[in-house]
Amino acid sequence: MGIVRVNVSEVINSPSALTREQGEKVYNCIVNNIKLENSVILDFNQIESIITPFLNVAIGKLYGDYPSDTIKKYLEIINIPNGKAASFNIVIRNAKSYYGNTIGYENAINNTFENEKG
Amino acid sequence: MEIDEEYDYVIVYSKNWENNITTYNLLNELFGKLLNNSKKKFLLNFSEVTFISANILAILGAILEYTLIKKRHKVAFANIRPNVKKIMQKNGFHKYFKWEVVEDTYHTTIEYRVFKANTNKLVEFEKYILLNIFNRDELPIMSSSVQDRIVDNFLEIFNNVIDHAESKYVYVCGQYFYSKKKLVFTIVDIGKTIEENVNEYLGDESKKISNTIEWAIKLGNSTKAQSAPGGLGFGMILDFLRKNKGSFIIVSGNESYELNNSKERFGKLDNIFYGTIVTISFNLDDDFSYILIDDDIIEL
Repeated sequence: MGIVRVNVSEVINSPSALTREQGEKVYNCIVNNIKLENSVILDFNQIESIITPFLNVAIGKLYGDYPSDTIKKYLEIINIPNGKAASFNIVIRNAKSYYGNTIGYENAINNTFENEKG
Repeated sequence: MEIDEEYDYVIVYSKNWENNITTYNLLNELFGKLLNNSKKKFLLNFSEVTFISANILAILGAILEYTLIKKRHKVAFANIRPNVKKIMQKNGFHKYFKWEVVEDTYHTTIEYRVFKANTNKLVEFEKYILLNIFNRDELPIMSSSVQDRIVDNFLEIFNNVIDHAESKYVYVCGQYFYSKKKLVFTIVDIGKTIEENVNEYLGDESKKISNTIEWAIKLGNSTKAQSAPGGLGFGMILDFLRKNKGSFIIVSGNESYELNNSKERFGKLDNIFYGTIVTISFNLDDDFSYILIDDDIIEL
């Protein structure tokens, strides 16, 4: 039992977190540590691009293995690139819904944009 | 269709290639004709065509590249109007004809490009999108987080070609229309259609679905969802285009989806496209500024 810092850019060897394959590498890293009861600090420092195929596997898939409380207990996410927190939240809500936990998909995307008259 | 001594098939296009389902259907007809024959000589006669919406060249390029090698046809173009030819000389489509390049002085074209459909090309594609679309002053004012989110969605579309279509290439082209105040961009792949993917994934359940594009564009639905939850699909771009009063077209197989001025329509085409076409049209006559209601914290 301990605390393990996982640097995403080092795990995927790239500043761009884009694909399901990259997501799988990060997912495996998180799961292996949770199995050892290690807390994981997932560090997105030096990551410039993130898209949801990556997040669906790296983060979303965890909700198929563990209840939300366990993920909260073992996982901390830091250094999220500016403006990307919403993508994480959409993926997490989507995953919870997909694996039958909470909240409908539709709410995840509603009211995302707001426009103002210029 | 006429038969000519020199050519096995002469196809005369009598209408302009506007950016609509009718034109796409016409191109699907050409696709079918090229696929269902081999070692033939085709003449495409554009004598009546005074305008081609340049984004459509992504569709034409995809069809020709796929069928000419596979079916060993010869295809010739006739009577291309100078203005149409000039667009091709500006956007890179001229490479098929060995015409000389014409400089795009007013930067109205969005380069015709063919990307290999693999994950190594995602970063290159992102640079292309940023340079050709989001580097333009004519787009509505949007915060960097809105732009990021839309760029993410473009990358997802590219990624979908790799994950779902199993296509070898991604074809892209676009155009900025000054007078119509539109920026139109098309992404095309030749490969498994949305219907094929959904049928494979849902099995008998898919028979209950009248239009599989309707199922596929719903948030969370994905034919890759067995191993992890599904993607966002076209959600962000569609959400933006609804507010921007832009338009959006998908054609895959013989199914279609159109969003135009916030109205949606699912339809069937007479002719099949053996892959997927996605066309995004931003409305540039839009005085609104777009910001994102962003989250500060992640709720695990």
